[in-house]
Amino acid sequence: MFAESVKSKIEEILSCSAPVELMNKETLVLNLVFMLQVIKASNNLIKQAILNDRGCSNFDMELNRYLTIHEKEEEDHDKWLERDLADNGVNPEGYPIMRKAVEMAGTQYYMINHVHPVAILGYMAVLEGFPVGLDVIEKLEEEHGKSLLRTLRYHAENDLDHREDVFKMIDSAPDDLHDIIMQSAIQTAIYIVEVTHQWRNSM
Amino acid sequence: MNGYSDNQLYPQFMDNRQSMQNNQPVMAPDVKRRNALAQQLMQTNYQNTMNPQSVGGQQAQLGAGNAISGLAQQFAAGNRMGQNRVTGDSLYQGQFKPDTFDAEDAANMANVGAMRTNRFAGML
Repeated sequence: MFAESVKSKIEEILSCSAPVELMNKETLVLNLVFMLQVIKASNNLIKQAILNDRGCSNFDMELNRYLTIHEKEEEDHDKWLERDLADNGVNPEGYPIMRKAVEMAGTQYYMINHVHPVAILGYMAVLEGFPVGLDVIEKLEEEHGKSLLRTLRYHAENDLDHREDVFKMIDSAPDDLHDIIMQSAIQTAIYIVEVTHQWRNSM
Repeated sequence: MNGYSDNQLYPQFMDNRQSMQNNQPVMAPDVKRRNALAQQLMQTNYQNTMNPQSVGGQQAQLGAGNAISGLAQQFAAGNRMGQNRVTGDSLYQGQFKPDTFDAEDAANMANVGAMRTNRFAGML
């Protein structure tokens, strides 16, 4: 099963992450602002992938259908997260645009437009495939208040289904597309590992 | 800027800026890291676990990914057995700090761990 190889490669790379102490509010907010900067691009990335997915194989059509549904599901999540932060006195615009966020989303623009739109599956596998556990969300809510965790909770509750969907799509991809999916997943996971080490070094 | 300086948010860039000020050779952080990781790979004869077909034209990037994995295995092995610890000299100091590697890092590397509060929180 190709999805299993992708999953284990992602786990292998993410396991090199530096600890991100989410119980520390400053760290949690930094993580959320980083994610806000990343997910601002999510909808457009999915739209780009849909526009570029013009093949007529069964897989192309299935990918198009999957992405069209997913694009609707991801709508306005950046606005939700912005509201969570604002309600807790955090102005995300007060933060610089983080280079790793730009690199991570920017890599996808390149891959989707210049390599193959299927690359987005590797990206989605990393970002949706390993949601924070609900018991962790509860601990974080106790510590920081529920309003800061609304969007993260939504993802913790829903990304388990999304995870299943994305890995199912990855499994159905033809062999000649495996390489690009794997590369996309690896690069995304590396960006995350790198940003966690940056944070650790700067905290 | 909510109290974050460039040095905190862009440590690699600032590291290079310092090198320039000191008239030291400047390498792109990724090149520096890859070089260090590649050297480490040679020392440990780490076997590439990737499907060779996946390497293709992105060998360097994939190599970095595999190198990170290899280091994780070394860290974990060193921590378990108290030997084969990766030393600070052999690694790119700015990215991975083996001198500060501790039990928490080991636990972190043991699994990605959805149930932990000290991990990156991702979403799409």
